[in-house]
Amino acid sequence: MHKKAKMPVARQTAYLAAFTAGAILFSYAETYLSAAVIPIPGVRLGLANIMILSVLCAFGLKQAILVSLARTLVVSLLFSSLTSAVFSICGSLLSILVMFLLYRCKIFSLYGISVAGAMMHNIGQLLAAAVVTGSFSIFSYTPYLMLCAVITGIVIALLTNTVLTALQKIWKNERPEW
Amino acid sequence: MKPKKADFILFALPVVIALVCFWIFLPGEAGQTAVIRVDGETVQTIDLQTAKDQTIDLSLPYHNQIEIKDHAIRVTDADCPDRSCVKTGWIRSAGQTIACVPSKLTITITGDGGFDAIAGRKVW
Repeated sequence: MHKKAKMPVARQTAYLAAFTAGAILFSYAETYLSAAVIPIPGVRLGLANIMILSVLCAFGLKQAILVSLARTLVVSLLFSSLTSAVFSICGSLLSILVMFLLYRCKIFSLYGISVAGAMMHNIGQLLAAAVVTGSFSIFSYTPYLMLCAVITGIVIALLTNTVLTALQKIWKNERPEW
Repeated sequence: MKPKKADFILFALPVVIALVCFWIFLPGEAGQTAVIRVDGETVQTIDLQTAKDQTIDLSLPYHNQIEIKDHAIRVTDADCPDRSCVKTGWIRSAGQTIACVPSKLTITITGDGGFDAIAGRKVW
């Protein structure tokens, strides 16, 4: 699908830092955007997943997990509580692992991978929330979250494709011996 | 970028899950009792059909103000970070739920008699 990056460690670190910054920025923007775009409480666009999915495709699983953890930590320290960090980490780890496995299958395009990622992120967060509140009644949110996952997942896939295409272009112009 | 054939399995999966959940959590007729739970423990049950209009203040990790009016219940105000409990608005049918995860608070409406608390519809 997309070529994996081959570059010196320092350069990769710089790229990952840029992606982490992007993910943090998207998470921040999204708290305002989501409320305006989607009227259902608890539903997010998942803009940060553009960055995570790009890193997953362009760099690999380990890098994607690192960027995701860094992003979650910074976002929860800056804008919300540590409890929400726990939900977020549960959701994003589950989502990254599933996206990675689907990516490895090679029969799915970014659309399917992104939708599954959105879905697993929701399921992970619901599970964590059910454990914390000690009540499974929170799962009555599931249908709305699942339907939104399909729509947001497709939008996120399109945006991720734009990022990855731009990245390929940049790397082509960089020194080819990397 | 075109979707591959296999993608449609992944598009269909959430829709199927959603439909199954809709069926499970199908709201029943107007619910009888509102159950307020904190950390899984029931702290208060309110008979919505007979309850007077009132507000309840809960000081959990965060402050949540609950209002009961016209056989319905909602969270009017909360100082938790996401405030999704407030955004949920009024609930009145069996099976509906308001959750405030930061406060570990859930408010669920249960039916009476043969109605299952979670499923909100006749089980037998």
